[in-house]
Amino acid sequence: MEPVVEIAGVSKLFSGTPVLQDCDLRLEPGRVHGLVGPGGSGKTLILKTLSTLLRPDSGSVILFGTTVDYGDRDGLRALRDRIGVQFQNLALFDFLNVFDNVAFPLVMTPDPPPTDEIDQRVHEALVEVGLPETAHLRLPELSGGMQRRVALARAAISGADLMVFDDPTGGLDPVFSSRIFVLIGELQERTGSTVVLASHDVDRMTRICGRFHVMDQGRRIYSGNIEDGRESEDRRIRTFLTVEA
Amino acid sequence: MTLATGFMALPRNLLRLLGETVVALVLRPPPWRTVVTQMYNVGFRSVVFIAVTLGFLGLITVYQGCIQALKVLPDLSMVGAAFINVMIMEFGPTITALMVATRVGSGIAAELGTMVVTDQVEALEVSNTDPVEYVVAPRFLAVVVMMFVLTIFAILVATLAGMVMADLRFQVNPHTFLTLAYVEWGDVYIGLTKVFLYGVSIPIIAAESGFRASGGSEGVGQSTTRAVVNTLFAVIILDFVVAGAAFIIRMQFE
Ligand SMILES: Nc1ncnc2c1ncn2[C@@H]1O[C@H](COP(=O)(O)OP(=O)(O)O)[C@@H](O)[C@H]1O
Ligand SMILES: [Mg+2]
Repeated sequence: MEPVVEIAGVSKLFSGTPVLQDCDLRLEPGRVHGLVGPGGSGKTLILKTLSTLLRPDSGSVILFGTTVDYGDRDGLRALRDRIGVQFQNLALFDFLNVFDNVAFPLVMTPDPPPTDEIDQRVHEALVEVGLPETAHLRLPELSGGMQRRVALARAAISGADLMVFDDPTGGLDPVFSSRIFVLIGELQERTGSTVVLASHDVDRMTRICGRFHVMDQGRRIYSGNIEDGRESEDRRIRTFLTVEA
Repeated sequence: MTLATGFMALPRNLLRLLGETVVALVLRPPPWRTVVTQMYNVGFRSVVFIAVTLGFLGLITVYQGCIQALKVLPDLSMVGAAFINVMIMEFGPTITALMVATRVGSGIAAELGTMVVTDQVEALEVSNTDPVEYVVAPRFLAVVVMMFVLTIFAILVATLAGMVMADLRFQVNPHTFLTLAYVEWGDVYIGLTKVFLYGVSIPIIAAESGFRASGGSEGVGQSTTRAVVNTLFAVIILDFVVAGAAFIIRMQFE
């Protein structure tokens, strides 16, 4: 099957320091991909690259069979309409309340659904992440964990073909973390979308991720299933796929 | 990046941002409610500041003006006329702009800088929302419009304060003080030109600085400071440029 994401030879320098180095990544459609690796290994940057938000210095990014052309506004628009992102640092709009944050990707599509459908979908999404009755609240009234769940709801609301979750359970308690992973798994099954999530919680990831990708020092050093990875020759791969704090 | 290329990059970035903002305003104007909210913010942030500053400026300028005038000749009948003329051409627009640059410019830079370092700008982009259209355009329009409103307010406050000083301290009748005898249309145009150019440059310089923020809250602080410094500098330079241009144009007509 043609991959949804095909990143080849991507490199990126930040003020002279290489943060992505000749990095490859292939995401086959219709499953949950787990991205693991130590802090600072480039997980967030590669997720931003495959969301078209980070333009690499070299290498190519192919999404849905189309090579990303950063100068082509309409082409970028068409791709971005098919991508939903939950950012590691949430990136919720602090000038909007919870409802408007979650509704944002729906409202901003070229052809937005009618208002009552938006209302209904936003409320369903908030119930799913365990935040009913919060629609009217402003973000500062929410705890960090609640904000993370709002960000999840926003990323998932439009049922995008490619959904990106960067540390969806960071700072959440274990019970809620489990629930979020289950939700992401169900979301993927319901939509058939391609999901990629970065996390340190390898244990819970194994329940929903059909495929793992390991990052280290700006490179992807492994792609495959968890069992093979845990028996890899490379000690780094074994370590990252076994226990991660 | 060398200092020279950095120095050249700023005007180019500013012009590009201005172009994008104007294009966005023309092609996809923001909802008027958004603009009104922003206008309210601009006014709310600066109105007290302007009232106090321009009030004192009016008092001090008239006091000094009268004292100095009395050294030359004991006639204060034209003090009001001269004061009002200078207020319209110079102090009304320029002092108001300095206030707006400090209060509103810093606010715009902080807002945008925060949005950049917390990835909100990227979140807009991935939802196919242009941050220039969505964030900058309504603020730009609000500042341009409010610069005119606030300048008129500033001139009124300063003139009233000056009138009170002239009346109480120097016994100049308010009727005598309040005269447009020295004001020519040319002076009004100079004032309006300044107000417009300040209104255009303050939000653009501030937004450009905010967009360049990087690296957490420290970066937001730096971009805010840079915005204030650059906008104040721009106001002073524009004041000088417009005054110079007006001088040259007037020479042509004489
Ligand atoms: N805006 C930035 N400027 C400079 N360096 C950055 C920036 N963003 C990330 N980095 C660096 O890039 C590397 C990879 O970061 P990141 O992708 O966030 O790691 P991870 O998500 O795996 O923890 C880190 O060393 C980080 O310090
Ligand atoms: Mg990260």
